[in-house]
Parts: sequence; C-alpha cells; structure tokens
Amino acid sequence: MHPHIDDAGLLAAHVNGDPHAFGELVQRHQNRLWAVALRTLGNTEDAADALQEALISAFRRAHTFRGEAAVTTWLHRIVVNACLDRARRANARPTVPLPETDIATRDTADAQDTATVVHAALAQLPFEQRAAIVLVDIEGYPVAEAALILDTAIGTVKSRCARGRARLAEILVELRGNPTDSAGVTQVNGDL
Amino acid sequence: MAGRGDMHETNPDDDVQAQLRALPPVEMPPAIAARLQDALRAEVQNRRVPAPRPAPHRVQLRQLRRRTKVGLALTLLAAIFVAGVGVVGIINAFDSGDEGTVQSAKEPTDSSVAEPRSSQDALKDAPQNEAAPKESALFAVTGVDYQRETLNSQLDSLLNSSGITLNEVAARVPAELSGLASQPGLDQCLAAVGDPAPIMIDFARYGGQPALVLLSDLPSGEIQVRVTAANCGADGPNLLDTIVIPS
Repeated sequence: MHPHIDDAGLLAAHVNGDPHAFGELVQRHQNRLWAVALRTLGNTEDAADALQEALISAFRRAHTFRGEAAVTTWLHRIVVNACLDRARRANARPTVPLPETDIATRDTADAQDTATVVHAALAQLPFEQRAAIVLVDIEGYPVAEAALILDTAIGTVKSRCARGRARLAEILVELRGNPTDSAGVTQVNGDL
Repeated sequence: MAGRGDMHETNPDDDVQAQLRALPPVEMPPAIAARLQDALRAEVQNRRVPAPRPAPHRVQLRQLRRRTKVGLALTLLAAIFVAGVGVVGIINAFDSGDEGTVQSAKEPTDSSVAEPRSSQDALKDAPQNEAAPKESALFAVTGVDYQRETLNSQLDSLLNSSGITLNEVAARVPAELSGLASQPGLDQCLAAVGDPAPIMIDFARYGGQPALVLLSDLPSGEIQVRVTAANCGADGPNLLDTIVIPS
C-alpha cells in the first residue's frame, strides 16, 4: 500500500512497473467512478462492463497521461467515454429503473420511492444531459471539472444541465401523476 | 418534445436540483469491486508475461526498413548495371564499326560522341532519384480514414502494404494531396515537420480530412506517428496530430 502517495504518484508508479499501484488508485476512487457509470447507464450489468472496460483501458494507456488534469478527472473521462460507447452500442437507454439493491437507500420507504422515480426520470434523458446532471447535480463536481470530464465547454455543461433539469421536471410530473408508469419506464423510453 | 426545457433554461428548477442532490450515495457492490480487481490483476500478469519483445508494429517497421534497404540496394545495382551496359555498348559499337549503333549511342548528345556517361551520371538518372531524400521511406496511398482512437489497429493495413514509389503516388493520390505527391512539395513538408526521413508515408485521411501520415521509429523503440494536413509545406507542418505508439 502507498497511503502517502498521491494519485499522480500512483499512476507514475504503475507506469514504472509497480504491480499494485493501479489497483490501489482504482480502490481510492471506485465508488465515485461506479456511481457515475451506474447513474449514466442505469443498470448494474452495463455499468460494471463499462467500468471494467474503462479501467483496463486506463491501465494500458496510463503512459499517455500528461498531467494536464487531475488523475481522477482523467479516469472519469475514460469512464464516461466507455459509458457513452456502451450506450451507443446498445442504442438503448435503460429500460428499467436502477435496482433498489444497488443504492444505499435511506430507511424510509418514501425516500426509496423518490430515488426510484428520480432515477427512472433520469434514465429518460439523452446521454449527454444525463451525464452532465450526474456529474454536477448528483455527484457534486464543479461545472469546470465536469466540462473537462465531458471534454466540452463549461457553457455546454451548464446548458445540458439546465435542459436536463427542465426535462426532468416534466418527466417527474408525468411519473408522479401516473404512479404505475414509474415502474414501467419502457413506455416513455421510446420517445428518446 | 417540442420546446422541451427551453422555458426553464435560464431558471433551472430548484426543486429538481434538490431531489437530485438528495439521492442516496452509491457504493460499489463488493462482488463488482472484486471483479474489477481480478481483471486488473490479470492485466498485471499479462503485462509481466514475456521478456520485452518488440511489438508487432515494431517488427513490421524493422521489416519495412530492411525491405527499403534491399530495394534501394537493388536499385543502385541496377543503375550501375545499366550504366555499365551503356559503356560496353558504346565501346562495342566503335569496335565493330557499326555506324548505326554508334549513331544511336550518340543520339542523346550530338556533340559528345566519345564521352560515355559515368556510372555516377547514370545514378543521377536512376529511378531511385524520384525519392532521393527519402531513400528509406516507403509510400502508400491507402485511403484509410485514420482515427486517433483506432489508429493502432488501422496501421496494420499500412504496415502490411508493400509500398510504392512517389511517382506512383502522384498517379493515385487524391487532388487535395497532390501538392505533397511531388518531390519538392514533400521535401518542404518533411522539413516543416522536422522529420526528413520517415519510414513510411501514407497519403490518406485523418478524422475525415485529407492528410499525410508519417511513421518514424524512435530511438526509444516507440513508433511516432505524425499526421499533417494537406497544406503542410513551407508555411508550416500544419500537424493534425502526433501520437507515439509504445513498443
């Protein structure tokens, strides 16, 4: 273990042949990377596949890291790109809400319901809007960092977030107005 | 879907933001964490496996270099042979008193009948002259539209090509790249790029636009790929990308 080495140091150690450095780097950030993958793809299987694909890619491409951004930003960018690729390949947005077991939910049933409905609504957004909202509104990344992760302009991220929120508000009204739809997201997915 | 979100663009729904922020945190399930660590351990094992061995592209580049050297040597030999035959032919013609043959030998230079061309002169006119400064370069017109993400695999077709001469390039190259298919144009571009002797030059495309793809092997064992736009020349290399492929 290298508890006192920062992320860039771990990545450099990996490039120099340390067999444990990259695994340790992943362990440091795996929950946040997982959250981004799961919330942008919407289901456990795809998220796990995308994350594995992304991390192996990062493992192999570590020597290309130039230090122009933080290591976590670089890792997130690779993960988001892998998720985007997977979403495009599947040509599908998630057809079911996130399984409740994937989320460390609050104790109350109300909170659980709210989370399920919000995730169901989120799943109906276009990938770009969803990714921006996941990074900025849910995971709390500054807009500037989200822009680096998404490889786009800050203004674009703001715009995607604003449009995504507006659309989410509409979808949430629809879902809550007709509770049976919250479990039947496939009915509205065809619209996207 | 019409007008979706537009009316809210400058006034994001605070309630939605609040609901998003209130979503419970997500933790990676232990089974998935274990799966990822297993996958990374496998990568580490693969990384360790053989003692340093040249990557396929490196081997291909070496083969290319060997091929170009052999090709150049054969060209030189052929040129010397042609020059030698010319001299012997002239001498024989004089010896035999065959006016017709002498005349034909004299034809190129009416005023210098007895001045046979040296093998050095012959070399100047030999076919290798068409690619003189790039004597170790192979040319190709693959037409491949290279992309940064897939460049490594796309290079296979280039590295497996047998290579053509610059004159052949000129006959095949698309109009946008024709300026680089002449020796002066190519020389200016290579000078601007700062790599006078790439191993392989492909007149192709990059990210959808006409481009020159230059492959060089670095002393470190890596392969450097430089991509220039069609307007590479005296005004600058107009590099579209530079990528180093590890050995």
